[in-house]
Amino acid sequence: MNTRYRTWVRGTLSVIATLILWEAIARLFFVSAVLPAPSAIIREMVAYAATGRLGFDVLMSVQRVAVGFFAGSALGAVLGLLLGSQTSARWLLDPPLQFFRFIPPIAWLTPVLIWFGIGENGKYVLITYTTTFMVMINTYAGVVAVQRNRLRAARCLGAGPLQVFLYVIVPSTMPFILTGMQIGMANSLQTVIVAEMLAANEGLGHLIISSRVSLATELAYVGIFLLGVLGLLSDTAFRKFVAQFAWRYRFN
Amino acid sequence: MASAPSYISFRGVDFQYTSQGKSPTWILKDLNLEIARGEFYVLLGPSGCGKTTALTLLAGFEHQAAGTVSVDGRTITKPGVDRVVIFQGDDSLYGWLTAQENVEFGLKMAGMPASQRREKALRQLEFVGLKGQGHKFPSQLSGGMKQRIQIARALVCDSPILLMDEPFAALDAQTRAVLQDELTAIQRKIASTVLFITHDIGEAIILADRIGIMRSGPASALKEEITIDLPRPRRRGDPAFGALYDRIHATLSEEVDKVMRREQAAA
Repeated sequence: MNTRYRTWVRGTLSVIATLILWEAIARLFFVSAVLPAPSAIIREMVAYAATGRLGFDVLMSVQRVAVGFFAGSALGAVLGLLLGSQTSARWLLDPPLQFFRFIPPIAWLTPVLIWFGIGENGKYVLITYTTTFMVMINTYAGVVAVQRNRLRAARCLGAGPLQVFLYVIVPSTMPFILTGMQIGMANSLQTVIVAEMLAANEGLGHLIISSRVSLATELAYVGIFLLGVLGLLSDTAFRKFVAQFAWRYRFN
Repeated sequence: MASAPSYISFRGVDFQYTSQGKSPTWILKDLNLEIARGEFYVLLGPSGCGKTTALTLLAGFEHQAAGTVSVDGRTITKPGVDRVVIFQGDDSLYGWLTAQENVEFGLKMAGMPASQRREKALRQLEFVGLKGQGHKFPSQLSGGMKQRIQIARALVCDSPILLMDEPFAALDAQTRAVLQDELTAIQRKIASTVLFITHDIGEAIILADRIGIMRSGPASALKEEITIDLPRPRRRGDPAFGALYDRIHATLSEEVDKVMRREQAAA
């Protein structure tokens, strides 16, 4: 408890020190359009929030990531488990997977816009794809890594193929699925921002890119700051969820 | 040679192993082995001689190229709860399940209701000396305790045959000696048939009713069988123990020498 308290105090001090330094450097050496001071950013954030636009931007981004993240996680876990446990499918699927691994999801923006339009569906598809891919690859690797003796033990203890899958392969793969989801979450935030920069009229990505046009640099920082907060919050929430509901799989 | 009616039998068993891009090697060639019901049979041999392969065939994990492996006249085609394996490493335990849940695993697969499962598992944990440890996860237990969980997990299924693949090889000497004594006591009590694989001569003499010594591989088979009729519990200080040890050691040394000569010739 004592060390935890100390860590917390140190963390807060570090943040405050950084902000003070930033404030000083910004005020002394830069005009606000180049490097705005934290105080100017906060002022801008409050003003923009008062118009109601900020809440809407945040909400849109969160909604897009949430839909894509949950759909992608479910799809990715199922696909990864199936591909991993069907040994016959590996030779067929491994080469394309190795190829697509190097293509960032946002590279698909043009085809996605053509196929699904400029509305929400295109963004959902893109973020779902981002998460699906990460979760699938990790899950697949997890299934392949299940120790042979685990499978053999289950079989001689009377488990049939479906039982082996449900009671050994799925739980053995859990840590990999969760890692895939964590990476998928981070990547989804990147994807949503770029997608909103290129094809949206709302959301944090749109906020950041549109502030450039009006040279309202403070607004861009508001977007960047909130993005960091969102990432931190979602990651913390995810860890809390794992600690609460999936803690036993850490004993893997 | 076995005059007692045979329960487990290997007849003319050949097993071939092909690793990628290499020509196939014969691991076993014409292995013949008979084990009586209730017998504690130890297969002893130099590493790489195929003793684990023999166990794997009896477990039903792999299939021989020729010959038959059978239990009570029924040919083995797949794994079954009548032949539960106790593995060397603890990687066969399920890390996300408690000790008790690990023990319950086989019963759960058989569809036994939870309350009945729990009762049987608790009794079994007590039997192997893990009373009050059921709520712990394998990662919180010592190597010896983990092997006890494996034993309990097999016993709780009332498996008439236990297949033990060097189960104590990774343990420290003291723990190993304790578990050897306990295993002897357990086997006396429940009269299961055991096929036990080891490369430790002392362990073989402590445990076995009969020891089968294997030739060095490739194309290995049984070289010699020795019946151990020392009274139990057996002590390493016993002169008869020493005499048996020397005799088996001499036989095994011939096989190890063969391997070394072959390796030198190849180098």
